[in-house]
Formats: sequence, C-alpha cells, structure tokens
Amino acid sequence: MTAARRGNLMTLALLAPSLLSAVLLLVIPILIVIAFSFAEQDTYGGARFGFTLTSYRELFQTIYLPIFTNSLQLAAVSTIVCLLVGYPIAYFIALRAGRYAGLLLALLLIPFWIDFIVRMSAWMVLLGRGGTINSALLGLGLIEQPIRMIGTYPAVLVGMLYAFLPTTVLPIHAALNGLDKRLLEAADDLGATPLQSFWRVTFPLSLPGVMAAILFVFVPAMGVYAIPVLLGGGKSIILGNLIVQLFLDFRNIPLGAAVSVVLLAISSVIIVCYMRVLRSVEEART
Amino acid sequence: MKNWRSLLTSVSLIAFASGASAAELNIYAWSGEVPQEIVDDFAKETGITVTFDTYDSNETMMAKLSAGASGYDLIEPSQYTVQVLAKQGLLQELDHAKIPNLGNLGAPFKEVSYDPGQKWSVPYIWGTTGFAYNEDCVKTPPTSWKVLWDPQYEGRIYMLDNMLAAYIAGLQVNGFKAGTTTPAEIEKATQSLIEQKKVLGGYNSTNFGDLVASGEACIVQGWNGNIAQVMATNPKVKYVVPDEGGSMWIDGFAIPKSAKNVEEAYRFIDYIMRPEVAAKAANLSKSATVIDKAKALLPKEVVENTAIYPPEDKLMKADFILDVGDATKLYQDGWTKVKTAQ
Repeated sequence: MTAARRGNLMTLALLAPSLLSAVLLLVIPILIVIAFSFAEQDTYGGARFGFTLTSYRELFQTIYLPIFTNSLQLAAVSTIVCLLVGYPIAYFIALRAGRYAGLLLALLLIPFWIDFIVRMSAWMVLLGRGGTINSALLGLGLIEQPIRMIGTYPAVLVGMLYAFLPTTVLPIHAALNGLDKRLLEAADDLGATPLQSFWRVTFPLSLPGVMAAILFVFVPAMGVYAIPVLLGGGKSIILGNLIVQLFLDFRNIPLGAAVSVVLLAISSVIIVCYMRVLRSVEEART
Repeated sequence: MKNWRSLLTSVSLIAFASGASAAELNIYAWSGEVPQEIVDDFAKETGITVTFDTYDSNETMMAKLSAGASGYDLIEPSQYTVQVLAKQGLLQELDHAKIPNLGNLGAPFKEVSYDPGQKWSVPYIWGTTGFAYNEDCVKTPPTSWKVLWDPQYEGRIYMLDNMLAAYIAGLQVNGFKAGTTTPAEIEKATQSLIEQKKVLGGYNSTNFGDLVASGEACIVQGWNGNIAQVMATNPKVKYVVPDEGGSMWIDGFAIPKSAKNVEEAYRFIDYIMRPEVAAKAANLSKSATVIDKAKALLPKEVVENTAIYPPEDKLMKADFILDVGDATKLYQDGWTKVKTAQ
C-alpha cells in the first residue's frame, strides 16, 4: 500500500461518521420527500406510491401562486430590513467597539440559547394590547388607545428581524473583522473622506459577508412557520405554513411533499447563484 | 421461606425496572378536554405509565394516524372524524365486553348517527361551536355570527384556525347549513370568509379563550369548553350559540388499529365512564358529560351554565357536522383561498 493510498483510506475513515450521518439524516429523508411528491393521493389522506405529476400540476394552479409571491416578498423585505439594521451593528462591533467587541457579540447571541417559540411568545407579550410597549406608551401619555400590533405585517417583520439578526450580523462582522486596517489608512492618506473610504474600500470588502448574510436570511425566511402564525395572526400564509397546512390539515402528503421539493429547488438555485457571484467577486479581487 | 420471598420481590422488581411488566398507555386527545388530573388519577390507581399528548384539530390527529405508526393507543376524535377514520380502516372495532361502564351512557348517546352500534367509538363529552365576547369591549350582547364581520371591532376579532369550524360561521351567516356538500354554498361561504379577513385580528384555535379574556380580542369564535374554562376566572367573558345555529359536536374515545396497549386503552375508557370520574373530568374541563349519573354529581354552577349546557331550543337548531366526503376538496381549496387572500 502506498502512502498516498493509505492517506486516502485514512481520510475516508475519518469522514465516515459525518458522511454516514449526512446520508442517513439528510439525503435519505430528502429522497423520501421527493418520492412522496410523485405519489398518488386519495380523498381520505392515504398516499399510494407511484409516479404521477398530479401534485406538481395542482401546485401550479392559481390558488397556490399567491403563496409563492407572498413568501418571496416577505423573504425579500425581511432580508432588506435585516441588512439595514444588521450592517451598522456589525460595522460598529468590528471597527469601533474595541475591547467591548467580544462582549457585544456575546450579548447578541445569548438570547438565542432560549427556545425560538419562547422568544416569539415574549414578543407577543411585548406587542399585545395590554403588553409592555402599549402600557409604557399609555403610561407616558403618548397614546390614548392601545395600538394594535399583533396580527399586523409590521409585527411579522419585527419577528423576522429579531429571528435573523444574528445570522445577518455574524457574517458581515467576520468580513469586516478581517479587514486590513492599513487600507483605510491608505485611503485616508490619499485624501478620501470617511464616506468615500467607506463606499470604495470598506463596503466592497465586506460584500462577501453581505452576500452570505442575504443567503442566511432569505433562504430560511421562505420556510418560516411560527412567526406569521404567532405575530401575524396566521392571516398571511407563506410556504412554511402551506407545507404544515397540507400535511396536517389537509392530509395531502404528496402535495405537501411537492411544495417542499419546490422550496428546496428555489433554495438550491439561490445557493448556486450565491456561489457563482462569490467566485466572481473573489476572482475580481485577485 | 423469607429468602424465597425476598428473591421473588427482587425478581419482580427487576422485571418492573426492565419494563417487562410495566404497562403503558399513550393517549392523544383534544387540548383542554381530558384534564391532567384525571390522567394522573388513572395512572396512580392502575400503575400504568401514561403518556399524554394533545392536539387542536381532528385533522392533525388524523394526519399522524394515517402517516403510519403514530405510537398512540387511545385517541379522542369528533363525530365526523370517527367516520373518516373508520372508512380508512384506521380504527379497531370495540369489544363492548371490555367496557362494563358502557351502560352509563345517557340515552341520546347510546345510539349515534355517525357510529351506529358504537362499533368504533364511545362518546366522552359534547359541546357546541359558537363565539365568545368580552363585555368590556362589546356593549350590546350579540346573538348572530354577523358580529364576527362587524368593522367596529376591526383587528379584535379572531376566528378558529380550523377549516370546518371557520366554515360553520361562513356558511351559516349566509343562511346555509354547516357541513353542506353543495359547491355553490361552499363558494359563497369562501367569499364571506375572505371578506371577513379585513376585520380579523387573526386565526387561533389554541388560546382563543385567553385572547378574549385578556381583551386582546373583543370577539372570538370558539368551542364552548375552552371558553367556559376562562369564564370561570373572568366573568366578563360571555359565550353565545348564535341564532343561525352554530354546531354541536361529540368527542369520544377510539382505539387506533396500530395501538400496542389495547387492554390499557380499554381500562382508560372504562375508567373515565365511571360516574364520579366522568363528573370530575366534566367539572375540570368545563364540558358537558355524556354520562347521566355524572351530570347528577356536577355542581350547580356547571349544570346551570348555559355555556356548558345550552337551552334545549338552541341545541335543536345547532348543526351536527358529518363527514363531507368528496366535498372535502372544495372546502380545502376554499380555505387555501381564504388563507392566502390579502
């Protein structure tokens, strides 16, 4: 046995546990979902294995199209809001916070040790009619009637922002943290205003982080389930809710599986696009 | 002699510890209908280890059962759900010999239309679908579903997040019967439910009682048991079976075909049909019992509570939803339209 072969075998042996779990817990379940999306459905919720495109045909009927546009729209708006809020935070932590940077990052992450549903329920308490925000505003005499927040679109956006803020901040922070400070000094020496040096040096260099943030927010945002239900009153359903509705309320496993496959396909396309753009950015730099 | 006994004890202890003789029961029931205390009492009396899960729609429970091994031994379907599950072949035929307390059932529940001869299920409690309002917010007592469309309560009206329940209001407000299979009527109801979205705060079938009790909502569509539970602590909440009829439902126990602990399931059914146990369950869940002798044991404030025992004339008008068969698809498409409308 040559050393190279032994090395290969060694690599394989070391990779085996993660490969095995990836196949068992990721590849096989996805294949099962794909198989179900081609199964046949009867009125009472039984699914018979076979090969039919009925579910996909049904999916592209007009009644489901608004859900796709709702989801893409909510994901896009959430991504923009997250970037607008997350970028300044990441910038501050990476370039201005100095020795408090670690502490700030920890503060950003610690709430995420608490279960997601519990945190969203906390928002219901904050935003409710008799909730903390309304009581405070009433107490200060700023409003006369409680403001309605739960069950509105802005409440959903607040939930999305809160849920995805760390995944926005962290990649941007990572990109900015690795920034060579000498570049900024050089820009300064060459007479650039702070704004100019931000737009022409800092921002372009943070782009890979920004793109990662877009990916990390946009893709999961389309499949979110709890936020539209808890904070939006369940009035505007998106793909995540549609999947739950099809599986649990309508017992239409093939159609639910088909929606999952389409969601997976959309996510994959976005990820492939991201990889392409990332590569061209890296190539342009070298 | 003494040694023998201690040997036996340790053997049985080992057997118990290894789970060989530890009896189990996995119950899956409507949230708020089977009180935890009843489950605990049963576990204590029988030594059976009970796992107790809840759902807030028949459809969720059916989805879990039809997906294969659910692991549940006892379920609590509503009337139309018994029909669907039986048609799918997901239930076991009940052996009445194993339920000695079956005779305790009150007369109207001995012979039910959806399950002749109690072949698949045994009634447990019954109730109505109507709406509740908070007096702080709604000054004139409403009597019609129409109040759930009233723009003056915009943002403070909640509907049950449950397809068939929402359609009870959608259909009856148009003068149709709940559970209809006529396409044009379902379509009209769909339009009404879409129109209603403008005034809705949201859909909720888990804590609608808390919503109306806290004042977050002025009016909520709801099932009477959950509402009666919050009425016990907040007298400003009132429950109404609407003039258009509302609906009456019966939830009962059934044993899935895939059940592993069948004997234990029978024991639970028989246990909960004892008059004193049924009375305790009804009192805690603020629901109407199907056991006559249990009703006699209930405190006056439960029996005289019209949210729990509505007047006879109201009940006569209430619709009783049965399996809608192929019309299910019409309801589902309509409900999807309602949920996606902006």
